[in-house]
Amino acid sequence: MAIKKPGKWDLETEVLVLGTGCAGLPAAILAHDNGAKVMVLERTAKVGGTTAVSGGGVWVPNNHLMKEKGIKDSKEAAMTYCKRLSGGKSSDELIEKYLDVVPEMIQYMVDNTPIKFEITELSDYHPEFEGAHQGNESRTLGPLLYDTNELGDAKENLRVSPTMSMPMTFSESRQWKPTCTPEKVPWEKMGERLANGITCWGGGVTAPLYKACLDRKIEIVLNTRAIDVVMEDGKVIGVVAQQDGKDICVGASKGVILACGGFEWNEELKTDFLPGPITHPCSPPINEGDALKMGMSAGAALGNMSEQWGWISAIIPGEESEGIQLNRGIIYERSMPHCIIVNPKGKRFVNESAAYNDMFKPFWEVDENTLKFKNLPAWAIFDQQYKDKYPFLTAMPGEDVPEWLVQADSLEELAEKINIDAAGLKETVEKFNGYVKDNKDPDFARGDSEYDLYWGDDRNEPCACLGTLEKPVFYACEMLLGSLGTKGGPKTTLDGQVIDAHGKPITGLYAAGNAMASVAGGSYFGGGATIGSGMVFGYLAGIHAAKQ
Amino acid sequence: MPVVEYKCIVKAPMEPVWGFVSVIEKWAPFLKGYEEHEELNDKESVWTLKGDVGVLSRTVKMKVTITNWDDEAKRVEFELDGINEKATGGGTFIATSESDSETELIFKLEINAGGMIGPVVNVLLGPMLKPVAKEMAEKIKARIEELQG
Ligand SMILES: Cc1cc2nc3c(=O)[nH]c(=O)nc-3n(C[C@H](O)[C@H](O)[C@H](O)COP(=O)(O)OP(=O)(O)OC[C@H]3O[C@@H](n4cnc5c(N)ncnc54)[C@H](O)[C@@H]3O)c2cc1C
Repeated sequence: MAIKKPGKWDLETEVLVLGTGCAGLPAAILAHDNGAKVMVLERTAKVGGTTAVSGGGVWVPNNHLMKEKGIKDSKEAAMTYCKRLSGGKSSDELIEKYLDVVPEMIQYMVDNTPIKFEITELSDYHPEFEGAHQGNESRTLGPLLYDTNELGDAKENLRVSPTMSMPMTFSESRQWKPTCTPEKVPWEKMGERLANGITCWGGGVTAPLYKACLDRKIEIVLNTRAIDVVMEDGKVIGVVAQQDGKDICVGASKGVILACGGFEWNEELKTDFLPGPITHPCSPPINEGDALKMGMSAGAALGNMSEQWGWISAIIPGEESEGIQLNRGIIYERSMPHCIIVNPKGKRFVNESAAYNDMFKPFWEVDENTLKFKNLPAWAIFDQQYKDKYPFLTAMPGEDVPEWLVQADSLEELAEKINIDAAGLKETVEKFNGYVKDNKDPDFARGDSEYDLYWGDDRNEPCACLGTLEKPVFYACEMLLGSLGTKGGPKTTLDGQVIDAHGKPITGLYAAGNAMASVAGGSYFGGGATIGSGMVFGYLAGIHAAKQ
Repeated sequence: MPVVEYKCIVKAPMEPVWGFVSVIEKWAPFLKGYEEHEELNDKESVWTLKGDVGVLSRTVKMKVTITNWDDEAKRVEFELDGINEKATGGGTFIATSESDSETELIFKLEINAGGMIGPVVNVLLGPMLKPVAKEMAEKIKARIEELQG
């Protein structure tokens, strides 16, 4: 139940934004630029949220850079593609709104903030579907390098990624290929850039947007966690927040924008809403479903609650960030030649090279007889050919084998060490090696989609993502259930206004980013669709709230 | 290569200062991130430390070899060699009598991350070393002064 209006507000504003990720920062900027007095509450001591630790890609069909380069795209093509992917879990109107607004939003950000982008070579996540784009006509934009010294002392407030801090652009990373040819990366130059305060990836999105807020003198109140909405006559007029161990009341005469992420770090909410566990989320441990609770408190209708942005992870035991075990995302490792993923029976169960959100789905498959997740625990298995050529997490080719990788001289011994079916593993590897020789994976179509090749090794003939496992030593690393964030929450109008169970907007309440019922349904359109949709609905909510 | 040197004046005569510094067990827990150490012989030991690299923290095992233990000059020199991480380095402890009641303690430490991404790790490591050296030296100073009453 929402809180009643207090006698006196501790802080007051017109538009109150909760959270400083890709949804919150554009919401604040647009509310300001449309004439409102804006305040932002950020739970942590750092600005940027999950967005700051992300790859920073933004999925923008029909964008201005494509036009400049003569790449043809249309809303209609993108619509056909997105509808096919979202599988009816998102409304056509919401998808259409996203596609209408995303090019305009990016153009606005480029024109009115220091953020800059380039076109990448990343294909849509199902380039084989109608309306999709291939890598040479990519819809994914990547941020350019940004000098954080522009922020002055506020630079210290930036959230920094524990894993994606190497300041290189998408195009540089494509050129140097740190995942295939790490020896080609100019590491000294990377060190220099870091030392000089240059950022990229997610930092290339959040740092310039934070600067845009500072330039506009938007007040960002750190270490302040909103916990409930304040309502009067069915209208949201502020929030209660925790600050320095005290509850404070913050009034917002035009609206409150929930941009404070999903619930991937809240055990109870995950158990209640998700069809399977997320044991090792890859976002920082900051999003605990506060937006969802505030939405429920205000009587919001909920949508897409069983979905999340799936992403397999792995850990290096003892490696910590923010005082807890760090969960590292697994992306290129599983896509490289000489690596497969198997279940306890030693069997493959997934196209290892498929896009992360989709390849996650079989990890939650339940065995109808045992009622257990039949593919868990899952293991990445690779051989010495892989170890000699490619990095696996932090284990670099040619360097010593770290303690956290299980290793054995034979597949049988490896299976025994990780407690999986040895005969099953041996048979699987023999079969897979045959597929490699035929250059065709009839079981899981690995390598058939152009996307599968993106994270592989294009020097590997004949296929960038297929290679035998035949040279001892053999290695194993457990694949864990990660997530980039959840994507269910309050349902919204096309302008980001939260609606109630009868479809009526709740005056004064908005949601954007992972805090809202996502436009993507259960799918992932392409690299940057998460940040893209977060930015679009933050942008729209900011404009709408300012105009109240 | 990230290097740090930290000096402080301990309000105690040389004898108790050197007596304290020369027994590793006495000050080892003052090293930030110290978890344990195991002596292999009188020159070599293996240290387990939890160290910060940027916003990441890792458990690092290092072999420490004393290369020079000079009771006369009140000077200890040691080398570091990473066991589970590619890193090398070394350091010195020097105690110098300033007066009957004051001793200067100098602690010098250098670490060089190796491997392909060493240049990047070194950038992150650099700013972390100074506070580590300072905290350790200040804790040693405080403990000796406390023992002196
Ligand atoms: C390693 C990694 C790589 C990724 N790469 C990409 C990519 O390239 N492209 C892409 O589109 N997506 C990517 N993602 C996913 C994407 O980063 C996130 O889904 C997206 O950034 C979420 O944005 P958000 O604004 O909704 O939430 P966040 O960015 O998490 O921001 C939410 C903010 O709200 C704050 N907060 C939480 N609770 C409260 C409260 N009660 N009061 C006030 N503040 C609160 C949090 O501290 C946080 O700062 C990646 C994710 C990860 C982990």
